[in-house]
Amino acid sequence: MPAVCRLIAAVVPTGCSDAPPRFTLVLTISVTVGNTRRDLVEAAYTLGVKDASLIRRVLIPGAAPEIAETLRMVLGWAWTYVIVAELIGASSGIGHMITDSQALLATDQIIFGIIVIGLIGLASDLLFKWANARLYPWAALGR
Amino acid sequence: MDGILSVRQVERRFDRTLALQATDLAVAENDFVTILGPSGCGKSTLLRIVAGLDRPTAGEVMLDGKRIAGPGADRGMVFQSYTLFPWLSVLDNVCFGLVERGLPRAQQLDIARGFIAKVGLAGFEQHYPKQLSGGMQQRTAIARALANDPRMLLMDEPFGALDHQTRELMQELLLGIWEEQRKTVLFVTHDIDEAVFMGSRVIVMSARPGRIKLDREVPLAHPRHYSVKTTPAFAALKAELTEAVRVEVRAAQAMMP
Repeated sequence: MPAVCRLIAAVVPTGCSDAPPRFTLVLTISVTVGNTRRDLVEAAYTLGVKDASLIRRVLIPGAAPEIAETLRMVLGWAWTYVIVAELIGASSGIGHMITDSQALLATDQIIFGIIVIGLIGLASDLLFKWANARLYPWAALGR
Repeated sequence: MDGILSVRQVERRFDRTLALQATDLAVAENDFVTILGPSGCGKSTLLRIVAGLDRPTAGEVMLDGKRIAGPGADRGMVFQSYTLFPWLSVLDNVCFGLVERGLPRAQQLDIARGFIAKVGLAGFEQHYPKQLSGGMQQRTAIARALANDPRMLLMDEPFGALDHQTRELMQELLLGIWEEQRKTVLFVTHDIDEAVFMGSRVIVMSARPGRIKLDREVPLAHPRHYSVKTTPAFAALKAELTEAVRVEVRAAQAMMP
């Protein structure tokens, strides 16, 4: 459970310890929105859209699937940070269990720990992927 | 003659290349003006300038006596690439301009359904663009532009990406709508048959730097049945235009490295 909390803290901007994923996220999102198909923007203008509405009605819905995919990727990175943090300094949790097991030479526990981390990561990734496909059926995500 | 649209000495330069020479064009109410010319002659540039999506480097465009400064709902446009919003259904796409105008939803749906039926897509309102064929997407794009009741309709090779048969049906569809609604249309195309069949007036542009080389009235009555394509009057005009365009296509090709 502490691992899950740390994971959420890594994704939600709270402090400087999660600066790297947050900064990359902001950058990637702005690039994604900037990549909105120009002809869609032009079409919207010829339909009378005003600048303020353009953002809300065209740029954001257009970029939403890619942003969702970016978040999925960032989840992956954040998960990595969590593992590293756990392995270095946790006093409980799976990472701690692994380092403990190293000290006690309980190899089977080490392997078990690694597999569990991998499975949780995989499961959350697949869940995210499924959710994105349900939310944005119109965008051919994960072809 | 002072029509609704007045293009005055409009010129467009890109860095050092002159794409469009100082051009004058007057379009009257209810004209259906088709514009022919080789690739790179500036016909799309001219259309985009009228649409307000591009700025001339010289000259001005006046619509109803007012200078055009940018894009707007008064000049609806249909592009060659399918520009339907993929996250919206056919109905919501067609309502797009109406939503922006703040019309009550019931009225929006009424207008939108009307135009969707006009383009022959009744029953497809809840479909998404990715579920539609190219022809259906362009029909939706046309309905979307018309539903917004623009002063002028600008079309940039809208049927270029469609197969021949679909293209002919789309021409007849659009012509039927125009004959009924009598909008003012500027239509850019490569296809001479298309230009003569649909236009009340055909313009031929020269190779780069583009200028208007020919401006002919189309002497065919309305309503036009597709069989008009095999009449002598059609053939005569087509022959003249074919020659004029051919010369320019050759000139354009000679310019390529």
